[in-house]
Amino acid sequence: MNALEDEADFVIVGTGAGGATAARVLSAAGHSVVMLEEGARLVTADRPRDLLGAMAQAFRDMGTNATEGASPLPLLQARCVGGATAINSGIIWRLPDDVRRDWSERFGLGELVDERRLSEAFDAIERELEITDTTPALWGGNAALMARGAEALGLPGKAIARNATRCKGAAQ
Amino acid sequence: MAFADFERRWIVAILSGFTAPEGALPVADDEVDYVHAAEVMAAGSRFKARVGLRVAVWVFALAPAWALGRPQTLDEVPAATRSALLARLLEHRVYGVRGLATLLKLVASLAMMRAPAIRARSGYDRAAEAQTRASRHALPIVGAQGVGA
Repeated sequence: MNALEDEADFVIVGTGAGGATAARVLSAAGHSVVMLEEGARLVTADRPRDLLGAMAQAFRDMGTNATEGASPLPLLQARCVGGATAINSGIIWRLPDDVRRDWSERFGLGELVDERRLSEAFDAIERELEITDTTPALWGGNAALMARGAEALGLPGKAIARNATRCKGAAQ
Repeated sequence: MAFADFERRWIVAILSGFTAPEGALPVADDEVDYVHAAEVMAAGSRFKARVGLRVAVWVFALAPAWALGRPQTLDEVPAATRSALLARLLEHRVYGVRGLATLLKLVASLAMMRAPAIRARSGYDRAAEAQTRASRHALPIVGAQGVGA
């Protein structure tokens, strides 16, 4: 392994949503930041079009991680620059309010998860990432079928918000 | 994780049993490399998942014995019986059986969608015109090794 010497105010391990956001905030505040990532920086044109190949390239452990405990839940993680944001189709949504309240009450996070401050932060993130609801033109067959089913049953539903404004739906 | 020859036969019998030749997306026997998909899945998975995949192969290969009372392995029963049995196991009352069945069906799906002809028939792919070469906000990389960066 080659040694690499560098110097920065902050070193962030992981380049996913959390690491990238931390780097963005620290950098904007004038600090120098180095981010460490174990996976490759993937270029769209080099990504396999088949899911098996794409998973082998970018998913940690082929997506077989799960939570510990009596009822294990699948836990998709990535191993590439961008972390899970590079493999989740750009899906992005706000922290649900019941979860926010639960975190606040159980862990005493107080103003760290203050409703107003979080809302302002989400507003800023959504503006910067140009987050919009997925347009019907980009829905797959499954989504269209789900929408028809929800409408027929009178159930509420909406398109998922994504940070994919210039996405052309090439399944990559 | 290398599979033995008999396990490879089992894998083909199990995974091909999830596809329906007369269904909306017909699949020919020689179109899909099921063993390759299982090997890629096993090689990249964490230890527990590798063990789970191998257990699933054995449990389902022996399903005719424990589910139908027939002294045969899954590769020895007719294709229609195989598919019907797998469909039953996907809805089995025991969560673990349903979970393993789902895992195997997932691998079968991944294998199917590697085949260009099947992908073309499925209509899944859209035009590749959206391929881009670089991010709008490419970060400077000060060092990289062993990751193809």
